[in-house]
Amino acid sequence: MKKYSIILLCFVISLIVIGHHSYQASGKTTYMYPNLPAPIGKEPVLITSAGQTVEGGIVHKLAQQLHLDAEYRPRALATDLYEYETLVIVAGYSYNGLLHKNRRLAQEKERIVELMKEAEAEQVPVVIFDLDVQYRDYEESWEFLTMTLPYADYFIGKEHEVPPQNLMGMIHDYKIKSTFVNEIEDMKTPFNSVFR
Amino acid sequence: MKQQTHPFWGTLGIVLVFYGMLIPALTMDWSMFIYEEIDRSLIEEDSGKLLVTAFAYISRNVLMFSMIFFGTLFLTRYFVKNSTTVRFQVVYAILSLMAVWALNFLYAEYYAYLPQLLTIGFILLFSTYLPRQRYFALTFLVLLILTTTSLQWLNLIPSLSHYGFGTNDLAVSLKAVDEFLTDHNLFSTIALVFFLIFFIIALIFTTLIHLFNKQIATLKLYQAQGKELQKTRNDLIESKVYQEMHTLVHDLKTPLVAIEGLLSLMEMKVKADDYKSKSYFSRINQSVVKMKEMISDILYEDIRKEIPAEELLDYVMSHLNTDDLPIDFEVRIEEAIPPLYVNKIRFSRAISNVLENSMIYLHDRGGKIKVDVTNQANRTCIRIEDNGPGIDQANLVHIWQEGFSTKNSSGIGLPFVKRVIESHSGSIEVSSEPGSYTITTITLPQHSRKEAIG
Repeated sequence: MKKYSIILLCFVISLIVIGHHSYQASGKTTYMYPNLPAPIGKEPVLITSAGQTVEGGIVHKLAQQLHLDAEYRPRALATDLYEYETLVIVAGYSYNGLLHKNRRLAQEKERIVELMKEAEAEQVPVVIFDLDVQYRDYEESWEFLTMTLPYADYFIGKEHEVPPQNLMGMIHDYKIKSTFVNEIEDMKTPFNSVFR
Repeated sequence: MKQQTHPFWGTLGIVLVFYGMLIPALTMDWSMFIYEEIDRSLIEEDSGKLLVTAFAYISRNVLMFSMIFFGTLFLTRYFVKNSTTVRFQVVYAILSLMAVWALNFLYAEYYAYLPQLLTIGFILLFSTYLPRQRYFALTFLVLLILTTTSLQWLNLIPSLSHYGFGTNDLAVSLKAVDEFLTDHNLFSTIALVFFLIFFIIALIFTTLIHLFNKQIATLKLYQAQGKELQKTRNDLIESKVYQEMHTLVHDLKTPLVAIEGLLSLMEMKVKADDYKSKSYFSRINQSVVKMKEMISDILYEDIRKEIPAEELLDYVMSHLNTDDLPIDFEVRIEEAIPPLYVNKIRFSRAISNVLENSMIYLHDRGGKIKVDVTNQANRTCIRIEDNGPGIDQANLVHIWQEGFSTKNSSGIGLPFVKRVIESHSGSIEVSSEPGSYTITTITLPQHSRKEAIG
């Protein structure tokens, strides 16, 4: 029996981790803010990614399905914003995405900061998307959210198993209207309500 | 099972872990291909392409984690001698988890610990059933690849994401696109199926190896028992033959005594001037006396008498059937060799056994057998050299074991020779070069030290 002790320990730790997640996920509900009372954005829409995840492409697909006049430019700069009426940011950090776009994390942060400042200066409404931050629970992902949320007019996110206190705190502090959905497909409704 | 801790294992372990850690950097094109294909499958809304990309992702992870976990096996083996102990498992688990931590530290891909912890647990569980034989590392590697492949698929099962599976960048990207394209239907099914397939293969592989090892162990046990049985049978046969021979030789004494008595009676009736007949009787008497001596030598092992080396070798050679053999015998006896103090019959039989062994191998191909008797530091040395096929080094250590034979004989010849030589306080050594020669050297104490002989 002694020779199986470490093996059992590995399995027990795994079960504890799984059980811990299950416990946290059970019996708790996320407080959901209502949808927008009226449209806040206009077309054309600039969709860009803060952290270069593939989810930017998914939001672009959603925009296409909604027949929005939207363009997906993952590396859009502040100077590109002049021709758009709404800015959509898809937050989340991707190590491989940044490598693929030949960008460093610092450069990406700088681009996002500039873009946010320009959006504020130009009074362009900002919509933040969170598709997978609960699984991309990385320090860098939270940095991008922290950078963008103060400028956000609307937040559309996927419902988290455990509502993250810092996210809920920021949404509350910056008085951001927000909607949490169960599936990506469900994001189309609040996304559409931004414009129509 | 105790294993050698050679620095080679430690070095190999470090090299494997090092290269495993470098996989993300070395396979940058591979990662970029995966990222691009995820993006392309999203643009083209092609779930088939997404599945192919998932295979590429799993392959990359299997390569990386297999190298790391295989490297930590060698590292652990370097630190802990016995691979069946709990200490070995503890060190292996710690080193493997440290390697995953280092991987996450070096690259911000955020690999989940849970699948790796389960992989370590399962691989340790399976490996307890693997035999610790010379191919252990190879079987461990096969099992590691199967287990890693199986458990890496768990990273792509969407419902397990809540439990900490598949938190790294590419896995999250794959699952996000899968949700958009197929509402998680593709990976929920395919990833689970592949996990089960590889896990079952790993289970079957472990079971087969375990059962095969059990069969081998049973076979070895039977072989050992068979050898033991053969040895006992040989001992029994030898003992019976010896007893029968002893009885037979003993029975020879009675007719000899009768012959001796009758001869003396017949000799008394021979006329005094019949010198020819008297000469014949004298020779018959001498032969009877010699025969009695031989019988005594056979019956009583302790009987020794002085005999010149030349006479002993003549006696031995006269009993060997060397006619029509393509073997050239060369006997050289150094001058002033003191007489040997031996049991003539038994010692001659011992020398004959050695010579017959050489003759068996030279019987067809021909060759030369040299017998040299020399004086070496108050000891007589009998050196028998042949230019036959020689004896393999592996067999050389077994030639004194009873029952050991490479020519389907009883295997009692050389053990008998050794016993006889040692009973004469002598020693025997055999040296050989396969394909070249065999030299048997018998050393005996000389006459002046005969008191030292038992």
